Order: sequence, then C-alpha cells, then structure tokens
Amino acid sequence: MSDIDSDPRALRSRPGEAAPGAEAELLARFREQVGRYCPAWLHDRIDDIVQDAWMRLKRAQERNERNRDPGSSLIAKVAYCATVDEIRRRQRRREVSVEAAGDSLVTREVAPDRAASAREVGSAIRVCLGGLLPNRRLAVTLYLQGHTAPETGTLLGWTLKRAENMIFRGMADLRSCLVRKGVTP
Amino acid sequence: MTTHDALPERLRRAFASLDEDERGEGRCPEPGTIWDAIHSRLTPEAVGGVVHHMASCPACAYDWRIAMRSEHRVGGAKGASPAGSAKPRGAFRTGLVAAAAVILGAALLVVFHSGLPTDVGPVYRAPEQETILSLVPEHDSLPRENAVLRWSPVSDDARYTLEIDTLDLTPVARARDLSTAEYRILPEALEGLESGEVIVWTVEARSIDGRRIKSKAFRHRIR
Repeated sequence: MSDIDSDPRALRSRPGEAAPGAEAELLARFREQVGRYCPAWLHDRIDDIVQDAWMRLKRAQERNERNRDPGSSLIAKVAYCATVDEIRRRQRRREVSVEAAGDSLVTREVAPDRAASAREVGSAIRVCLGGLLPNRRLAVTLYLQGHTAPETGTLLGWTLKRAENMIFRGMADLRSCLVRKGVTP
Repeated sequence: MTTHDALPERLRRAFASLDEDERGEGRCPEPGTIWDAIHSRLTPEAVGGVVHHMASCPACAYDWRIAMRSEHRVGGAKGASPAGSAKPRGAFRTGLVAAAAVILGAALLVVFHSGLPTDVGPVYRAPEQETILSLVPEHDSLPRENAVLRWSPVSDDARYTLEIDTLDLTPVARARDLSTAEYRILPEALEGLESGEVIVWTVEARSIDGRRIKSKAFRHRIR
C-alpha cells in the first residue's frame, strides 16, 4: 500500500493558517467549476455566481469547523448549487428573452422548424412517460437524460440486468405510446 | 448509423428541447438534492423520487443535465455513450457467439495452412471486472481505531485513488496510488467525527493501460 496523499490534519487547516494566495486560488477553483456548469446565456453573470459560491462556502465554514479546507467535491457542489439557483432566479423573474432562453444544452444550430418539431416530440415524450409503469419510467427518464444502463443500475440500486431490462421494456412502451399519438420522432 | 440506432439520440434531443423554465407538478428538489442524487449520495429510493419528479419537470431535467457535467458523478469520468446500452443481453450474446465463430474459423484456417501445432493458440482471458464493489458489509459500522476499507480488486497492475468524506463533503482523508485493494483510515483523520457519524468513500482504479473504473459511493458509520 502506498502513502496517504494528504495529512488529514492538513485537510482541516484554517484559511488564516494557509499560505498567502490561498483565497485567490479558491476563487480560481470556483471560477473553473462555475464555468463548467454555467450555460452560455448566463455567462455575463459568472462573476456574481462565483462571488455567491464563495460566500456560501464562507458561511458553511462559519457553521462547521470541519469545512475549513474544502475538497474538490465540495467546491464543485457549491459551484453547481450557486449556478442553478441563479438559473432558477432568472427563470422566475422572466429576465431571459425568448431567444436567449433557447440557448440551452440543446444544440443551437437546429433550425427553427426542426426545433419546434423536437419540442412537439418532447411534449409527447413527457406525456407518455407519465403513463409508463413506475420503474420503467425511472429507467427511461435516466436513459433519455443520457445515462448508461450501468449508471442507471447504480443510481437506482438495481442489478445491471434489471436496469437493462427496465430500459428495454420502457423504451418499447415509449415508442408504442408515441406511435399511438401519431408522433414519429 | 442506422435510423434505428439514431432513434434514442433523437428522443434524447427531443426530451432536452422542452423549455427549461417549465416546472412540473409538485415541489422541485433543491439543487443540492439533485447533486446528491446524481452522485449516488442518496438512497436509491430518494434518487427515484428525484427522477420521478424530473420525468414531468423539464426545468429539473435541465438542472440534472447540468449536474451531469460533473467529473465526480457516477460514470462521469468514463464518458461512455449510452447509445445501444438498452439492447437486451441476448442480442449482445448473439453478437459474441458470431464473433467467436468468425475468430475460431480464422484460427482453424491459419492452423490448417501453416501446420502450426495447436497448443500455441491464443490465450483468451476472462473479461476483467468492470465494477468495484465494497468488501465491507454495507451496514457495518467501523471502529475508529481500526477502520479498514476493502474493495474488490480490478487487476494485478491497478492503482487506486481513494476519497473519504463526511456526508457534507468535508474531506476526511485522501489516498493515491494504492497498490492493494484496502486502506486503513488513520485514527487522527477520524478525530473530528462524532460516534455514529457517517463517512462516504469512493475508489477509482486506474489500470496500466489507462483504463479507469470508479466505484459508487459507499457509506459507513464510525463508532
């Protein structure tokens, strides 16, 4: 067995005891993570989100002595939460224009008529999902989100065989439902 | 790619094209809950609850897809394409049998023409394990003075990176380049934890050929 990467006591050192520039480094790590999660239409808010994330971490550190030196997982989670909260605030305020709102994770080069067609199919999928058996609905939802069968099994506590089976049967049900609705994806 | 192969991708695009500011019925989970779900830090039942909501809530489905960019999530490092993974195993096995028949036929042809002795044929190895399992019983609590984590080894040449956190993601210990599939957490690392507090650990294996396999997150109480 090899060595420990970090002395566990060092993991809990206070920022005040850290080397100069540690906070700047922390902000840089937040910027990198926020940049990973921030959609293009929100890029003008990256600085604000980074600042928000940094403040959240500070508050958490004040509440919890053990959070004095965050790991990469915590940095990523705080950056994600700050970004999604900002997305939700924007959505609530309806600040996003119709054009900007289209700048989602979906490819931007899609022609308007094809985008409208995709949304129509998407709406049908959403209705059909509601009619699937519960476990098949879970499996197909994760599949449509881009998860593999092994990931689905891990997330839902299923064996790989069961995950594959649920995806296969659920996708067959989904196709049948779409056909019944006259939707051809 | 055939039309049939392209269908899942078209369905995914259609599902993702729904307006991300459209909320479904019921209360949306907090971003932290979505994050914990996709990182397998919730119970499968709780993950199911989030996914159930997401099926009818394009906004939360959008938030989930953003979380999928995380390099820490289950399957995040591998970047495997989900296409084709919904095929039943029977089809996969049929393909394997056909491929094996072709290889066997080619091998026999070579042997027939070259006159090589049959005992120098290729050696086939069983497929290597693609998941890492915890060998610590799931509901066992760990004594803080001798908290030993064990997991199923991937291969002889694998090196392991271990991350141990509390439930609020506070780092407890990190270990890299481990050559054996076990690790004893130093008691000093557990000093700040109260009795009954939960630790979460994940391990990533890296083979000499660069292949990476990451485990799900395992939990244990410290006593």
